[in-house]
Amino acid sequence: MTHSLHRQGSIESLSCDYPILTITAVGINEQGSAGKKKEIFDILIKHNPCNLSQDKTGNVFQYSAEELRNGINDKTSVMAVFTDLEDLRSALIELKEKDLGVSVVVSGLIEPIKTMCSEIGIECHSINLSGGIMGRLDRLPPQGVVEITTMCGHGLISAELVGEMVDQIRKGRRTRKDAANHLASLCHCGIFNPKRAEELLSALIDSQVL
Amino acid sequence: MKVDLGKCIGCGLCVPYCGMKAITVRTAERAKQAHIDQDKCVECGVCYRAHICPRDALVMPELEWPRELRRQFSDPVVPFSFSTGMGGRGTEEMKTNDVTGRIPPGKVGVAVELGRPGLGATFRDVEKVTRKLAVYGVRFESDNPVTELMKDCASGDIRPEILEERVLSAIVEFAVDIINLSPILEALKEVSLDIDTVFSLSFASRMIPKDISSIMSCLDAAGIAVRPNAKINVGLGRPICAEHLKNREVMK
Repeated sequence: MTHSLHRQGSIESLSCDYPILTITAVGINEQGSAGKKKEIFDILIKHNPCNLSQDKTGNVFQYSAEELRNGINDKTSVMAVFTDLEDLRSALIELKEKDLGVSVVVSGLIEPIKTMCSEIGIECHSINLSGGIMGRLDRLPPQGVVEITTMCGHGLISAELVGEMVDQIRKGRRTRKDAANHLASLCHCGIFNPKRAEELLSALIDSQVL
Repeated sequence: MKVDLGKCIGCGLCVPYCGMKAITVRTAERAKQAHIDQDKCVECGVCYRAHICPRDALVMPELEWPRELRRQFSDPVVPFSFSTGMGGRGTEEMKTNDVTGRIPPGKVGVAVELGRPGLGATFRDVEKVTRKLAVYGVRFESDNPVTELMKDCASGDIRPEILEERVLSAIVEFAVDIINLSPILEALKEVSLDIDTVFSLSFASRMIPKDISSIMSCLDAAGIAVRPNAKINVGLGRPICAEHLKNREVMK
């Protein structure tokens, strides 16, 4: 999930895209944390995430919530994606109240996150700023495609597959939602936002970029 | 990844799943079959785990050194057995900074993720970056798989037997005093012109206004635009780093 800060897109598009990662530190608070992580999973699922996962097994587009929860151990990280800032807020309030001691990292637009944390009494600890991309920018696919592929935490969704999904939608073989959910199933760590992907696929189709 | 030619019917369904464009469909002996370019394949497992092949013709072989590095760096399910033992990109970075104190006040953690988004990178390109940074006396993060693969951290030389290995991405990670950031940025801009891929650049710090302001000034002076979205550790981890800050070596 290193890449969640590098999600590309307009401010408007990113305003419905908030991945959250919960993680323990190897050698410090990892041992014996499985129970806490299961509690976190139970909290996150209540607050209407559009994706939910743990990094050992996968995400809800591949497995049931029960299978994911059962697969949690001391080493797993639990992730979710929220499209609504209010859902994220209510999840964070509950995480703060439970005080489980597991690190929580929220990705997304800086100012709304900072304002929300201040309002609910959370003192943010560290920030990771994205300085963009350098190098062979000429080798990158069109921006509209990059906005979809950068939603995968580990680069597992290919630009060609996005093109294939656009083609299948145009030919009536998939709906936009089916295509977005299929892409979400490939992002193992589960920080892919299928709701946002549906909109971005529509934008690609409308723009005739592909 | 290999193709079982006894099963493959050359339907091509697997082709678009490969981000490295390693899979093509070729005609051999009047039959179409999938072919995987082993130089381009980074062993990420996406084509296999997608279960798109109607004949289960994709095979994940056991890999030996150094090719197994491709899988460890590219398949987030596979832990870095030679290094941190973590999956993903193998480093906690600032994600647990509230507990580890890896990036203290006054310092900025820099992460150079070669190959992202979507192009992949060879360790030869990684070495161009590490050698460039080493000239500036950068101390590479010890709990990081790329650092573990350096022959010599002082020079930034990577082990020569892995230079041609290609991965989805690899993160070069280090922390410097914020006052020393500017020349590092110029070095990164220079080396970005010399690599055959891209890298995504990130800067981590404590949420201290003075530190963030100083970092933003350096980035602005270097002409590096900061995105409006970021990752924020909201400080719920325990024990907090002030109580359990380790006295760690940051260089091998």
